[in-house]
Amino acid sequence: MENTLPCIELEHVSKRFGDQPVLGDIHLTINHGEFLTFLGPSGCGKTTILRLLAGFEHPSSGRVRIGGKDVTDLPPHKRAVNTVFQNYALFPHMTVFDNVAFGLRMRRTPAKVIEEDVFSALRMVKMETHHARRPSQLSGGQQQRVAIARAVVNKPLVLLLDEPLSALDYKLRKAMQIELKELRRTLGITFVFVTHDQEEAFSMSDRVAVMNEGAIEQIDSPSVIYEKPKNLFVAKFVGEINTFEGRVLSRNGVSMQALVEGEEVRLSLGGNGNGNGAHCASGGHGTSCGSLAAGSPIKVLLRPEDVRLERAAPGDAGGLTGAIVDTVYKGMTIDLIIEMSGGKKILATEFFNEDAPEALFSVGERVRVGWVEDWEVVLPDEGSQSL
Amino acid sequence: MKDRSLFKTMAVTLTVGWLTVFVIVPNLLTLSAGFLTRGEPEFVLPVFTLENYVRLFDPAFLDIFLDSVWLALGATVLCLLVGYPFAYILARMTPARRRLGLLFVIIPFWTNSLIRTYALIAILNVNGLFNAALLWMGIISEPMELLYTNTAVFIGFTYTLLPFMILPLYASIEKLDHRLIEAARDLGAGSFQTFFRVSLPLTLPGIIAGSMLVFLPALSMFYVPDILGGAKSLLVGNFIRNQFLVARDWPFGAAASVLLTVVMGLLLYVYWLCQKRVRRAEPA
Amino acid sequence: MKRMVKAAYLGTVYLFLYLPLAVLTVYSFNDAKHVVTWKGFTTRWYVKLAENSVLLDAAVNSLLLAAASATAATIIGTLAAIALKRYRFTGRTILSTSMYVVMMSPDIVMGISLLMLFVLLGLPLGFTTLFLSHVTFCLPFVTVTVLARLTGLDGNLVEAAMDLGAREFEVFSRIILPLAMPGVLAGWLLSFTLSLDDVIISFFVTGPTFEILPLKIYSMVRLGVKPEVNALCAVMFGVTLAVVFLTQLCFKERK
Repeated sequence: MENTLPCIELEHVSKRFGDQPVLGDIHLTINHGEFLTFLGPSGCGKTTILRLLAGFEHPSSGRVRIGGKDVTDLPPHKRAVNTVFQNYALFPHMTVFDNVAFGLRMRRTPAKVIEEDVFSALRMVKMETHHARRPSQLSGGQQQRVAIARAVVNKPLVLLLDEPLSALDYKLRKAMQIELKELRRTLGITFVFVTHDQEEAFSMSDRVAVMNEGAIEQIDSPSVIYEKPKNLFVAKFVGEINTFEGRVLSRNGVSMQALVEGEEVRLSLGGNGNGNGAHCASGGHGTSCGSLAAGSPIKVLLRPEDVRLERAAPGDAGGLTGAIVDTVYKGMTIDLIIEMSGGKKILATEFFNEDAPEALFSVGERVRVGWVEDWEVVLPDEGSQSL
Repeated sequence: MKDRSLFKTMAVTLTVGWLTVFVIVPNLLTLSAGFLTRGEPEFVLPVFTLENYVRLFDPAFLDIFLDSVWLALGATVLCLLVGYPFAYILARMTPARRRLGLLFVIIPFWTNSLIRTYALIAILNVNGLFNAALLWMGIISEPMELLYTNTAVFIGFTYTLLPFMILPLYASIEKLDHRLIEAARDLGAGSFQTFFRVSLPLTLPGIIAGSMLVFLPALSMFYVPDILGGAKSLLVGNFIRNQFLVARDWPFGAAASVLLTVVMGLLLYVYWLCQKRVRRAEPA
Repeated sequence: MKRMVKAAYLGTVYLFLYLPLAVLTVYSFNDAKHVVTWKGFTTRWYVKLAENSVLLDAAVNSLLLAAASATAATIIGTLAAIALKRYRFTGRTILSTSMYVVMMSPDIVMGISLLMLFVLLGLPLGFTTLFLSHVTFCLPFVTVTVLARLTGLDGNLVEAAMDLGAREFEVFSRIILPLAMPGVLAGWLLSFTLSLDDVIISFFVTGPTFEILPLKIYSMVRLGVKPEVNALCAVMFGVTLAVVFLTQLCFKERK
């Protein structure tokens, strides 16, 4: 039962510390029950947005609305949000029970209710037997669970999580990710998550906001971000990507003729069927489809798994041919590293097919790089000049 | 955050208020009193004059001031000469021994200086221990009249203030990175050179801090000259006390105090400069 | 060889530091009034001391003053440390500068300036003026001690408390204070000792209605050596010994 009214609204929010701009014009809406992740490299501003939502920072401009209420000027203790901190921030001088009960006690909840709610929250994170322990007696993962319990027991409208899993080891992280998803299903509240780990963001979120240098580059569902990145930054940040240089020769509605790595190919624009086609960036560094006119430089992006290789005909030394310089067997797949005629290195990932050994490439073989029509992504080249 | 908290307001008001009333105002009073004239019976009349500061240059006062400075300086140097090796040896001991050693420096440090000064009387007396020892060793044939001389005051300052020199010195020496000394040795410097070119400059902040903690009190403590020096000894500390409680010349006393404060300020400035130099030279 | 020289040097300095006090203690048991030679063991000076109600009163006064000043100084000093650490406010410079001024000023300058203030305000010299002065010079030491403890505190804890609904006072009483307690207690002990120890400042702001021990001793000492004073000094030395060891134990436990 999802409420389609927005839960969180950031209205043209910006933040600067002294002279340093940290967040540019941020304008977005998060819906009730949504799991949104802010993803980006360190320093991109994702933690600052979280702190603005929590109330630890005040925006330099713009308004913040939570649950329809303007909370911009409200201090943290008056907002219906709770935060799970990166280093857990459990009160060392209190037991697990007292930690979790803290928020309830601040609101003068009667003791009987506190006891019920605290144990119910602890049961949710499977920590009820440790209620009398102190944080110093718990492992990292256990502390994390208590931190989560401490936040959710207050039944906030929004749960903010600031890279909560970054201090845990790989296996524990995976386990906690599953637990968080389950928790989200049980509680049904809005989750705002911050991380720099792309895999983590993708596995848990309804939508991901990719951030760079204080601005949101793209905000979409994980699959759209992966398959239709709006610009080079997003494409490179999320997963592996191969980049080819090119120039538009002519446009013809939904397709174009372009020179890619010196060879003339046909590229498709607009998504028909499952294809990607060209994608026009909006926001971020602000380019538009209009610049894909004849003569403008472009970048053609290809995910490794979308590359299709065939043995090059002898004597074929075109821009889109190359020699295999390394193969990496990964069990289910094989990674092939190809050095192109122009010197560039390309990564292709193929499923390892035991039944067709002759389709296996070996080091040194020359191949021609291609792709399934529509699976390429065409972006205006933001760095180069157009003719 | 635009958070108005009663607790916050109260905490700030109380602390800033208290310090303004009991620190800022009194010091301003002292500063301004130096520019006013003495009165009877009001102590201070609001009549501006520079005479008090002029009188500071009077040979009568200047003699006292210079005497005090000389004595204080001497005590500081002696404390430094005695204290530095002590702190050095202590800092190089094993952690367990170090703590114990420090503990035994702290005990006299915490014991009331008045009592410690008083304890010296028994030692410096004509029939006291010091004379007894010297007589016994045959160094002198007659007991020396140590008490009620400037020498006694000098010993008194050194004795009471030695721990104040040792502790900052120790703190500074402990922070000295031994690898630096080893590096100097490795590069061919002898013990002497290593000390003067490496250890000494790096422990300069501790030296200055300790010197300040000895020099300033030595200038202003009046009970040491009072008890050990008798009526003959008149130093700045006693002088100021007399102005306030005997001669009732408050403006003049205030001017002398301001002089003391200026001296302190200068020393602090030197200290700050040294700290800056050492901190810049330290690896991050 | 070198080790022996070092040990000898250390030993000599320690001897220098402790000899007068040791001699004093010995003399306090000496059954002679003025002569320095040993005339036999006696505790009669201690008995005389215990009967000297004037001295005992002064001692009790000093303890009361120290306890009261330490408590007030700890409260104000802790609040000052919290204010400096957490809040932005006008007067911040005043706060830190005055702390610094107090810690660095020679006692005599503080003494006369406070005297002038009290005379200006028309306050009669006595317990009140002593109390106000002692609190003032103990304050900065409490603040420095508590601040050191606060700096080691995890900043996230305060934010977590605010996030969970705590207002300023609750953040202070439930989170900051319990965690800073060792520093606060150390500050109290420090203030107590500083107050008991003070001679110069008290000298200027004291009045006839409230006699404190150091000043009583001072007036007695000026009149020359007296056996009861020996006993008293020995007792005070013993008390200092005890307090220092106690503090050490306190800190050992907290670690």
